[in-house]
Amino acid sequence: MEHPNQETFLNLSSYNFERFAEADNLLRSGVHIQNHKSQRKIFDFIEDNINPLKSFYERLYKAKLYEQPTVDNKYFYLDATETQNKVLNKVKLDQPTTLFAIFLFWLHKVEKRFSFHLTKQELVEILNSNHRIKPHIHKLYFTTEKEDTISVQRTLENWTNNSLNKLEKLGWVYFSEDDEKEKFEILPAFERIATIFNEVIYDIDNIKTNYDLQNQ
Amino acid sequence: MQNFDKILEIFSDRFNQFFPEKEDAKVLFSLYIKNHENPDKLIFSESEVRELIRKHYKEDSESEKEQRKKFFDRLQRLLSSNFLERAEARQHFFLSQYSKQLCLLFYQRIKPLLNPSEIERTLNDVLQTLKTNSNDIVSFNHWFEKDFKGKLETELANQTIALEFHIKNLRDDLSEKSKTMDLLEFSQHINKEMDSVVEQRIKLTQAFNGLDSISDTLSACGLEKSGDFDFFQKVGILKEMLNIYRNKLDKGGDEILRIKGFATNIFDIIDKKPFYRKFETFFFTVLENSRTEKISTRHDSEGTLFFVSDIKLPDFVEDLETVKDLPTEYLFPEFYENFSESKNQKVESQEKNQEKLNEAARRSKQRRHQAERIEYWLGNLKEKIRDKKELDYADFYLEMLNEEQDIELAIKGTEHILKTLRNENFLLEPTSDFSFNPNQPNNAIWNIRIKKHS
Repeated sequence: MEHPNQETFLNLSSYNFERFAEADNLLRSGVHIQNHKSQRKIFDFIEDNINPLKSFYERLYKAKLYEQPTVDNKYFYLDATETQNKVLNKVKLDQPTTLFAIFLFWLHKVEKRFSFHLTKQELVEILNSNHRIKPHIHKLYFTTEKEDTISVQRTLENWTNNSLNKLEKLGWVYFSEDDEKEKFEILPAFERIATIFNEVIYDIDNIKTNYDLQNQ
Repeated sequence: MQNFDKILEIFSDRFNQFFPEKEDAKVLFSLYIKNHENPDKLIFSESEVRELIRKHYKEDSESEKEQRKKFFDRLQRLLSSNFLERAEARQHFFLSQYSKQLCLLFYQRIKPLLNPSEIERTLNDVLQTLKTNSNDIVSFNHWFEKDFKGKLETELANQTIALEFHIKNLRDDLSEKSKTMDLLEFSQHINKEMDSVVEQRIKLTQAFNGLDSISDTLSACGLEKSGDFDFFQKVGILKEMLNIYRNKLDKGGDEILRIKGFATNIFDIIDKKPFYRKFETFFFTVLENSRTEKISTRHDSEGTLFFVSDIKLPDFVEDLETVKDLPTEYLFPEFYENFSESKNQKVESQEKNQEKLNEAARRSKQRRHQAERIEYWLGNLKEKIRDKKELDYADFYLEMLNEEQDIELAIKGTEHILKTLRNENFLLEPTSDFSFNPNQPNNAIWNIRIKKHS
């Protein structure tokens, strides 16, 4: 492809170049791309054209196409290299969704290591019955711990639904198409949560001590 | 065949009424499996049959003479009952056609043994027949014997046995594999196997949940009011049976949890345990130190009421930022001219968009109107009860329904009004009588007495 100034700036593989538009659209929408059945063609396209694409985003968007390894493969995502990037917009995930994402990662990695699939109902049940979690969640949503009423149930369902929809848009979870958006799968790129909070996690014992002292 | 002993147990339990002794069933099914695994093996020698009889009757302590006598008695019994037939060759035997059919019937059920959707199908059938047979005691008795005991109970028994069998298989398999596989391989194996058992158990639970519809249908049927002793006795038996199977299912769930706990410990040894332990601390520290700026009043959205909280995470949790760049125009439109249209781009006509907007506006207006009317009726009710000791809500409901001619509003209003009254310490006493409006015969309400708190 040539820019009007005649400089060639994107040489894509000839056999799957037609996937560029979709891949570009997904990457610039903040979607993480991984080798999952729902994204396989786009994943292959990015993998086949990784160098020209990296160069393309660096030069035109001042953004970096990251290649993050996972246990058995990798995932791609786009992020701005400069804090003030005028070409590429960024959005913050709202705090309730961030809290939900941390909860889900903990659940997936610590409590439910043996379930690749989870259901919304399962999550609501845990939020509303786990003795370590329930008091805090109820404090945040209802000020005090409440009986299990319909509105309590719906509040938690609502939080779960909204958060999962947002995580789905980032390519972190995948809803099985035939399941009416009840059952979902955690995707490999969800590991990014651990990467983002990596430093804090390693320093968490000190942070916790400080917070405990402040709260005394 | 894995867990053959367990399969034999299931087989002998299931068909025990056909055989003089449970052990006979085991002997025959063992012969059938030998034949199944080696189709050329149709005829069995006396010593092969004797070995099986001895194995399943477990009578090693008896003397040789006693054992021999018992063997001939048992062999004779199998022959005279037409389970076994004599072959042309002397002292050789083969399974009768009758035995083969019986064994085949069971064998075909082993593979798809755990099949929760079968319960759902049977349940649907049985519910249909219950509805048509619950008006008189003779039809109900017939339904109870033929459909409930004959079909549904058998299926429930099959499925709970199958779950036990499935779990036992898993335990045995894990014990066996743990001896040969390295830890990483073993942990992957556990993941795969556990998912399947847990999923089956969840499906089975869902299928069992459907059993409530039987109780509901029985409570609503005409016989319930007739006071027929026979009917109530049978309903009691039915409920007891359903509870037995529910308990079995719960036990299965506990068993799965135990295996899971065991497997988790093994996995932790090889995985990034320290990191995830820190992550756990991180999660709970975030949770404990998060606070709420404000909790807004309940939002009414499509008939669901919920709280919205403005959660603020502690300062050490940095913002999670992602790119979100969907410009109206791409930087280099010429780039895209030759490319296929993105699947993510929805093309909708202006008319369609306008239709959606109109519909959304109509719904919003309707909801607002309903909310206003519900508040009006709440005030109206409070006014009415001010000078009275108690009030029957059903009359009030019918008045609201008559005036508004909107069932959705009446139902939503009832939910809101009763909740508000309960929160304001009114006593709500439901009764077993109900009222309905002759103009809307499909909509009835239980009579509820609303009393002021003393």
